[in-house]
Amino acid sequence: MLIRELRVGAGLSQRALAQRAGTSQPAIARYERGVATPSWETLQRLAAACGWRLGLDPEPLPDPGDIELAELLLGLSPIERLRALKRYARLREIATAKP
Amino acid sequence: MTELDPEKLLRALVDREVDFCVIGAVAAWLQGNPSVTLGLDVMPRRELDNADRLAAALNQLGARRRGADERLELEGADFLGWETQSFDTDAGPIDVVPHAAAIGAFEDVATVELALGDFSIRVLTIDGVIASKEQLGRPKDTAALPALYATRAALRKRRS
Repeated sequence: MLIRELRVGAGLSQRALAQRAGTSQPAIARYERGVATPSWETLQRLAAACGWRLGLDPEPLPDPGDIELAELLLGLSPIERLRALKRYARLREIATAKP
Repeated sequence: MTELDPEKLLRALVDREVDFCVIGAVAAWLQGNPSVTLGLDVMPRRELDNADRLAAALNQLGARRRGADERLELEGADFLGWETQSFDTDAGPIDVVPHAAAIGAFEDVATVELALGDFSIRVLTIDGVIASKEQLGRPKDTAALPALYATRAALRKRRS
């Protein structure tokens, strides 16, 4: 999917991309159909041939408990969420108020 | 500090026809982020007519500088700079943020529209909130990220 998007965005045919990246047109076709998976190095080379640099951007896995809470909140309509915020803000203010 | 009444604050801005979007923690909350905030952050379109309407809305809400008691008589020209301004109002705290890290100004930001009963508002996308927090990188921003990533995951799950 990514390779096809980058290739089409760069206006390249599969053959032209293969030539630029030093691989074969059938290999590109296999990657794009998802029947073969390129190595990270090959993927970077293909992206570079399309004018892109691929980077790794690690981020922590979401906490399942946070996802569950978000799903609960998303079960409310936007106006219900807004009104819930008022209630929760009040509760938090009470909880953190100095005696 | 008056307790936050986000509906009253937003309704006042909408009634005055202020062009704005909600950013920060309230934008995230409205998209499912389960982290409570005590203040509203809004990004207005930075243009004189709009700034006049914003000033009128804040005057109607009894705006004071954060921590001060004296009510202000704001004018549009007060909102043509780029600095963030913090107010207390009769409906709780509000920050007016003309420009924010990673997301830019009103014209630059990606928003989604949310219907809130009989009115609607635009809020910064969850990706925008995350980008802003990542770029700001203060301890409180970094601490907010795990819940924001979880919210993004929940939103993606609902869309798929």
